[in-house]
Amino acid sequence: MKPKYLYIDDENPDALKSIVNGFNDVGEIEVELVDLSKLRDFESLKQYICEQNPDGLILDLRLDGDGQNRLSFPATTFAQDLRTLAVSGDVKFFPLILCSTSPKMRATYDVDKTSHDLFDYKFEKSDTPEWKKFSIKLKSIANSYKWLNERKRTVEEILNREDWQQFDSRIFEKFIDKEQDLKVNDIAQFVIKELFNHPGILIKERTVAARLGVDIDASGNGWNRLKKEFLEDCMYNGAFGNGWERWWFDRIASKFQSISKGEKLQNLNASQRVEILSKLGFTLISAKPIEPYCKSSEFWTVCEYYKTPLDPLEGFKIYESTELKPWQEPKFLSFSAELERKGRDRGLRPHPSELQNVKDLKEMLSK
Amino acid sequence: MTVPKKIMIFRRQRAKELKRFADKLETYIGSGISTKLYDGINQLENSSYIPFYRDENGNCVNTDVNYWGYSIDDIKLDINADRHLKPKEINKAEAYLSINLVSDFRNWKNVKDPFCELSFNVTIKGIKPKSAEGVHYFGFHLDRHHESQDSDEIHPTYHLQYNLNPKNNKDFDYGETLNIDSPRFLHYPMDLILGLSYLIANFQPLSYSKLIEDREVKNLIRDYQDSIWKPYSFTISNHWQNDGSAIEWNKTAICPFLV
Repeated sequence: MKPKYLYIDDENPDALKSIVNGFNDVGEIEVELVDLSKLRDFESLKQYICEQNPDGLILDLRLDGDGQNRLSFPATTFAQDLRTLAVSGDVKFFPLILCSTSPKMRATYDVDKTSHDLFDYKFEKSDTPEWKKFSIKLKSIANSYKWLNERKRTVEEILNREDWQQFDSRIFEKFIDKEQDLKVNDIAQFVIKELFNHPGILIKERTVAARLGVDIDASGNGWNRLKKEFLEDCMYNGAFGNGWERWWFDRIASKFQSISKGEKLQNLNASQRVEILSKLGFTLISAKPIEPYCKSSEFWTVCEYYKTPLDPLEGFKIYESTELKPWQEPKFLSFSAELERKGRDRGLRPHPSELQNVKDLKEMLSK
Repeated sequence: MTVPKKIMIFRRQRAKELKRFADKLETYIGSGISTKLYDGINQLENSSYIPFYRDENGNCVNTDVNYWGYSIDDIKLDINADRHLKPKEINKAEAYLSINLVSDFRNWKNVKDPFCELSFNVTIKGIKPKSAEGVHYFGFHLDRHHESQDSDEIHPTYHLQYNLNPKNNKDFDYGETLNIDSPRFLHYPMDLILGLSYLIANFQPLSYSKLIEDREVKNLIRDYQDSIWKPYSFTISNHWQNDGSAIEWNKTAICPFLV
C-alpha cells in the first residue's frame, strides 16, 4: 500500500493542486491536502491529524504567511507539538516533511537551527520540482518509520550490517547507551542527516566514482555495469536506504584491494585505479582533474558545485550549517568553482578558515 | 583464538590511552584527525584480533595471543605553509602517516625491545598549482629491522630513511637531486602517540606547543616515553658504565621531545 501523506499549507488550494498532483502522478505516495477552512486553530488541526493517523505529514514552513488559509502559527510550532505528543506516546511517530519556497527557506528555516531536528526532509517549491526524487525519498521515510514503529530495532537491523562495531565507536555510541532511549525520529535524523548527508562511512555515488578514479559521465554503461556487477554488495541497504543511494566505503576499499594485489586506492592516481578495474572487463574512462587549476588525480571527493572528482588537497572546505562530527568528512569546492563564485545561490561558499587560502592562491596565480 | 582476559585488560588500557589522545587531537588539531585512530582502538579492543608479525624465519603469522598492536592507514595532517616548502610555489601540503605496530605484551615496561614490528611510514604531498605536473611528494619511514632479514648493509634496529620517490614512480624526474639508498639513520622507536606528536611538532609547531601544555597529554607522552624510550636509552647507555661523573649535558637540548 502506498504511504499516505497529509499536506498542510495556507495557500489557496487551487494553487496547491500542482504540488498534490505532482506527487500523486508519480504514484509512489498518496498526498492529500488538508482543508484548512474548517481547521483554523491549533488544537482542532492537531486533533484532526491525530484522528487521520497519516503515514507522514508535509508542512508548509510559513503557515502563518499571507495565504488564503493563514494560520496563526508556523510549521515549526506545530511540528514541535506533534513530536512532543509522540514522545509521550499519545500518537505514533510519523515523518514530518517541510516545504517552502527557496527565499523563505533561506530567510527563516536556515537561520533558525533549533527547528532543524524536527523535520526529516525538506524540499523547495520551485518552478521545476523533482517529483520523482522527492516521492522516492518520502516513500522511503514513511516505510522506514513504519518499520521502526513496529518494535525496537538493533543497530544491526537498522544498518542491515552485523560488523558495525568495527567503525569509530563514537558514531553509534548513543545506540549503545541504554539511558538514551532513542525514539524513531531520533534514528531517522541520525541516519538521514548524520550518515547520509555527510561523507564518512557512507558515501554517495559520485564520491564512489571519484575514489575509484572513474569519470561517470564519460564511462556511461561501463560505470553502471561496474556498480551492478562489482560493487553491488557494497551498497547500503539498511533503513531509509531505498530513498538514498549510498555506499559503504570500507567495503569498496577492501573489494578494490582484493583485485589490486593489495594496492590501496589512496596510494594510486585515477588512471592507475581505472587500469586495475578495467582488468575485470569493464570499459571505464579515468577522471581528469578540473581544469585549469587542479593538477592531482588522486581523487577522494567531489567538487560540490561541478560534482566531479577532486583531490581534497586542491579543494576548499565548504561552510556547513552544522558542525561536523570527527567521523564526518568535510565537503569541498574546487578553485575553479570558487573563482567564479559558482553555487552561491545554493549556499555553497568556502569555510571561513579557507578564505585566506583562497586569497593566497589567487595571488599566486596572478603573478 | 581469543585473547585471555589479563591481556585484554592490558590492551583495553592502551585503547583507552589512544582514545584520550584522539580526543585531545580533535581539540588541538581538529579536521577529524581522531577518527583514524579509532581503527587502532577497535583492533586493540577486539579480543579476536591478533596482529600479524614475522616469526624468527620471517614467516608472517598471527598465532600468539601475547602479541598486540594496531595498523592504521593514512592519518592526515596538514602541513603549515611556512614550513619552507620547495620547490617554490607549493602552496599546500599534507602528511599522511601509516603505522603498523606489533608488540609483545610480556616485554612492555621491561628493559627490552618494546616492539617486534614497527613500520612508521610518512608520505608528504604538495601541490604546485602553476606547474604542469603539479603534484610533488616526499617520504620518510621509521622501520624496525627484523632479525630474519639478511643484509650486508648496516642496520640499526630502528632506523629512519628518506624517500624522494615514495610513489615508486618509474618515470620519476630526479631533476637536480641525487638519490641513493639513504643511510639508515639511527632513530628511537615511536608508537602512534609519540610518532604523531613528533609529526605535529615538526609540521604544526604552534599546535604542538598547545598540545604539549595539556596536562593529560603530557602525562600520556611521559608514560609512553617511559615505556618505549627508556628501555632504548638504557640499553645504549649501558654500553658505558657510568663512572660517577656528573651528567652536565642538557638532555632536553639533545631531545626536545622529552617531557
